[in-house]
Amino acid sequence: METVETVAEKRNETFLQRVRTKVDLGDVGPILGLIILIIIGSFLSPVFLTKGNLFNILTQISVLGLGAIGMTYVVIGRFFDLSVAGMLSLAAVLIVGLQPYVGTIGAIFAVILVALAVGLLNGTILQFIKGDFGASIMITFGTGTILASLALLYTGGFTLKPELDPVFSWFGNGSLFSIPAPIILLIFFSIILHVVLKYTTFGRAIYLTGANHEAARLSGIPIHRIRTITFMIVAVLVSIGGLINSSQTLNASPVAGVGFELDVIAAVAIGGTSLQGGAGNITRTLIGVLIIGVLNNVFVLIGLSNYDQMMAKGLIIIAALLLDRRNESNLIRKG
Amino acid sequence: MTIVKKLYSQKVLIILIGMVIFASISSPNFLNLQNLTFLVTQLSIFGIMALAMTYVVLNKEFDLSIGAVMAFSGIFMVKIMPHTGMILAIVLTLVLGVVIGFITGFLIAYLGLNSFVVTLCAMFFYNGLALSVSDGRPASALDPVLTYISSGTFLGIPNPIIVLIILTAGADYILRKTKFGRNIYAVGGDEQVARLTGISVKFYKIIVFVISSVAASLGGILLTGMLNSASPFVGSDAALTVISAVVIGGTSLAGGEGSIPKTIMGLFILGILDNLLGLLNVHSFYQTFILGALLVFVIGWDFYARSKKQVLAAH
Repeated sequence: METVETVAEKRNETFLQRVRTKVDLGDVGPILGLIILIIIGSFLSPVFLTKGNLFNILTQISVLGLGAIGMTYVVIGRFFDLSVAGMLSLAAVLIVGLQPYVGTIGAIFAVILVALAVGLLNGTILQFIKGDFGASIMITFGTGTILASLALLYTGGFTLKPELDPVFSWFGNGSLFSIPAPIILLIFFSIILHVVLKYTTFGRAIYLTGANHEAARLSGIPIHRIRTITFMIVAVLVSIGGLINSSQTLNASPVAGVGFELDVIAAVAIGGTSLQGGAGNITRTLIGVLIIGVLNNVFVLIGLSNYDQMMAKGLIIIAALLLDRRNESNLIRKG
Repeated sequence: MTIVKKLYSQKVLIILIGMVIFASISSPNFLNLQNLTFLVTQLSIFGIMALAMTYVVLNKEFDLSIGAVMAFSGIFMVKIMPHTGMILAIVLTLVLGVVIGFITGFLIAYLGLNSFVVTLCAMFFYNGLALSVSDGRPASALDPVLTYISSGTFLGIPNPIIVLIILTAGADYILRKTKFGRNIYAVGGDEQVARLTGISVKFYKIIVFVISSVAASLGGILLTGMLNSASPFVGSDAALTVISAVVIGGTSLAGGEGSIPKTIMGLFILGILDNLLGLLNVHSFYQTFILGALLVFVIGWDFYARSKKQVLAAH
């Protein structure tokens, strides 16, 4: 309830103060970083700012983007999912492997069912053992190892060749309104996840669960069910990513997802969603994903090897975490 | 009732004995001296790292970077060996371990970052560095001193086993009998209380990562000697295996609870499992699967038992 005094105080706020309260400073940093990267990129190469190259960047980040927006839900709920790498590999090989038996559409449905089961399994184990953040890391580390080995077992370690029917090809190489399909899928799911997170009770409940699970539990929120659903969402989005990946590369590798979890953590952390839970949103994560996409593109333009890129990524995530930490301590000081 | 309770408290030992019996029944080759020596030699490198990881986990932290540090240490040693000579190269590689551990520990203790994410980043960084320095190719290293250290024998026992035994005894002594060891338990048990008692929590947080990285460097040195070459691709499964050994032995991921003998038992359970699956010709993909399932089960059990205990304490 606003008292007369606070209303009066609000009127006396200067324009700058009002802008400052409206725009969270945590949001500005990543956007600024992205703009600087784009400027650097356009100086490095004249083709950087062409429509072709920008579509290229967006297409390349679409798989990562799908994983990262899903992970944002899990992280806001103050859990973590390391099984995404195994899930990506398994989805990539299962879709191609099941294609001859049930058709592409059938295979997609089957894989989504598998993903739902994986999310349910992760969530149920953590509910049963009353796990915390650390437990979610270790348990999903274990289930991720199982999924990765299942992908290898399914193909015997070999790469599978898909049948190129129109539906399968569309996901990687098709387009809608002359925009590549992977970008369309990323935008579509981002809007849905954004709206659900922002305007539904379910979305609010995720924030409360992450911010203070005891308070959430006492106010009647089924915290375990909420967290289990976030695990299911990320698994389904990652499996769609696996489908796009197989369709883009025209083969299904059982090691497609190795290292994927690090990219996802990087995107979420660089975007500024705190690993402490209870804060963050889809737009931030998308900015993080864009930063990684532009960064990869710039790395290629300046001719960094794959190995150097691995090193650079490790350093950049640490830097992003340090910045994130400073923001948090600023908030505490302000509060 | 008390017998059941006593047996339950020694469940890891019972599982270990059960596995030895099962292994010797199912494969006649298991219980011969050659296979057992081979088994322990195989375990020695991960064993050394598991001793260090026990310290890290007791302190309520993780270190996922040990495999990458191990690979990079091997490459580093081989690259500087022509310039410095063998002995100095080994010393410098161990110093490298100290520096790496200090950086990791500093990021975690002083800048308050999550050890899991930091060491995951470190893993990628040192993997990239090892690949970059070696151009993605194994580098061969033939040196009599190095070969003696890792493949020679002393009184008929392979040297890596002797190193493991000495370090095990030392790690156990420090943990149980010294102030340093007690403080490690205290920091892992309750950081706040430890700080109020006057223990420098940050010092211990850094030192455990130094211990872990030095152990990884030592592992890299021994492995390079055993294989006569340093490869940037080794150690990808080190963190998983070593943390599994520590946790399976019964050291709690919640910190402050566990011991060196427990880790050694966990190590042997994993080693015998691995050896047996190899003797029975089980494919390595199945081995990964079994390891993952075992990890989920053991960690799940650890957390479940603790949550039960808390409920009992509350009532």
